[in-house]
Amino acid sequence: MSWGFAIWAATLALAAAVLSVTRASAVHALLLLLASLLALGAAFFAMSANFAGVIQLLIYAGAVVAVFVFVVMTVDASETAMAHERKLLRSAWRWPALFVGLSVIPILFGIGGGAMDAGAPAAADTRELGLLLFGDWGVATELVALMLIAGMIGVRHLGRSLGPRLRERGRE
Amino acid sequence: MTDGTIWSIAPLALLGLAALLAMVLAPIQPMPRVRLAAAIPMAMAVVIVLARMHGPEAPFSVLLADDVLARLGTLLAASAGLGIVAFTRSFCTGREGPALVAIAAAGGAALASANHGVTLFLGLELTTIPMVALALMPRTETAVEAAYKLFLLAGVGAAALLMGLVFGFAASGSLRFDAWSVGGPVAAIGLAFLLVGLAVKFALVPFHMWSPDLFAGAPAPVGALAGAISKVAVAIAALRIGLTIPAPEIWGLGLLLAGAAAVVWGNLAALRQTNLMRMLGYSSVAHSGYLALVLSVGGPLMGETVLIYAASYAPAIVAGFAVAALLGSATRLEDLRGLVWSHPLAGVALGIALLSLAGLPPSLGFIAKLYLFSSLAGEAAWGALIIAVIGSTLGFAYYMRFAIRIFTSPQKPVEQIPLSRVDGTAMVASVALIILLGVYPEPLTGLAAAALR
Repeated sequence: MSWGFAIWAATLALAAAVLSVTRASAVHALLLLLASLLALGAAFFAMSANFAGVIQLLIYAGAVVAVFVFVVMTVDASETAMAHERKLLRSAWRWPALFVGLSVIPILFGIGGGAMDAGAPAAADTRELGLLLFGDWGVATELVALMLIAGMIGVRHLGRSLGPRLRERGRE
Repeated sequence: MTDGTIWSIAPLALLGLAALLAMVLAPIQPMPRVRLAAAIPMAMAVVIVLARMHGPEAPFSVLLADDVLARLGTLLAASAGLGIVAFTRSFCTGREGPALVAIAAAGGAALASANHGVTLFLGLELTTIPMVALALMPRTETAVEAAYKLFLLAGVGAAALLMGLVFGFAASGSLRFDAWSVGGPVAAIGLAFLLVGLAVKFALVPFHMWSPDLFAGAPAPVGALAGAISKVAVAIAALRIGLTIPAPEIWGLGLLLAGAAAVVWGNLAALRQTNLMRMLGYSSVAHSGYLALVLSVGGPLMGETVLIYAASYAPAIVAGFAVAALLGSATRLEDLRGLVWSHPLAGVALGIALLSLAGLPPSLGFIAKLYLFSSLAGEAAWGALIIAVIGSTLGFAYYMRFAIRIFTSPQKPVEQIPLSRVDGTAMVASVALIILLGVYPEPLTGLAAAALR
């Protein structure tokens, strides 16, 4: 791959991100965010950072789907509202699709040129990754685990319904 | 792994263990046992840190420092956590309260030991997320509002911090603090973003909006966490950055402006409050401001001043919130009237805590203010000194307004309300620290000097 392609994909990612934060509709913003993340993944691949690229696609693009679930959960789901939404969102895919399409054009037509000096992609096998995560960076991994526990406790309490049990519980 | 590295990671590991034990026991054991399960490993962490305070350095990982500064920060975080667990009750925080306090203490320890961008970020988040989770536990409108304010602003702060780390990495090719002294415009932009991220958690003025709401609206342990663990750890992290990277102009200027604004605005707003918690919330903005002023001015006394000031703030805020937890929602000015008659120990503890926050002898707060003024005067930073003096005078006015009310005789006869032994212990321990170290500060000043060597 090439620097030209990397810069092209990163520019598209930036443009999609700017469009994403300026949209009024949550779904439009999310689709553009998805396009931005995919273009960023392409930029990673272009720089021979294959592992980072795969992670970018799997985790971030996957996370956007999870955010979609939240959007679906919180919006009004009545028949009229659905029809209204459908009308509004009929063309929602166009911009995101354009960005993703543009970011693969260089591959299709071989534009961009200029070999990159980074050479072969660095090997990132699971063994090395594991050694890194539980060796030098073990402390960080454990701290992230603690952080997730705290977040989980918080979300569980935010999500509980406020029934009479709460008032009965009273003092210890 | 050698012997030394096991002991260097032990305090942090024990704080994590405290969180896990308390979380696992929360659904099946009564609350006092859950608190005990959190308290025992935390106490062990305190003992281990104290035992190896001046021992040889044995860094466990490239991500954490193991110098005396880190150990002092861990000591402060673990002992503050211990004090806060004592008054974490299930009716205000749910049964997972002690676990969350222990996680925040681990975050404070990580933040104080951070010499790497990753631990800096994780430490900040590790103190923030338990605070958000604890704050929303009562699920009242004010509590959830306070939690969301903190969550959103801390999210903005975290984003700014990450941006700063990215610029720092772009300039130096490393996330370690000591690599960032390369200078140049990219590193300066990185430091500016980093400063914004820290200022949000530090509650400096343009980013302080969460602080008063959190102190007043959320359960008492959250305010104590924000003051005694999060603020102290951020101060130590900022001190470490300031000591590692040779005084870039943008860092000092940003701290000076935000600090001066925090001192002025925090004190003026606190002057108008009639609720104890809200007053402590605004005054905590002012205390952050004093610390930022010292950090911005620099000089040979900077490190000692920051450490002593932070160490004096933590026990006072723990004692204040222990009393506030006892009083529940009755913390307005008129509710405090005659407190010393209805709760003698709580009244005296709150009185001494306010005395220390105001900076009067013979409390530790007096020593801290003394260091503050001599540090600013020593660098001939007259503007900062004048702002700090005016701020402290205003502080004296509103702290005394509350303190006098405690000792005014009550209008109607009061019955004595018994105090639980654990609450009493937390209050006595904090107040004893304030007074003993106020009269005989050598152990603390010696420790602070050793931490900077």
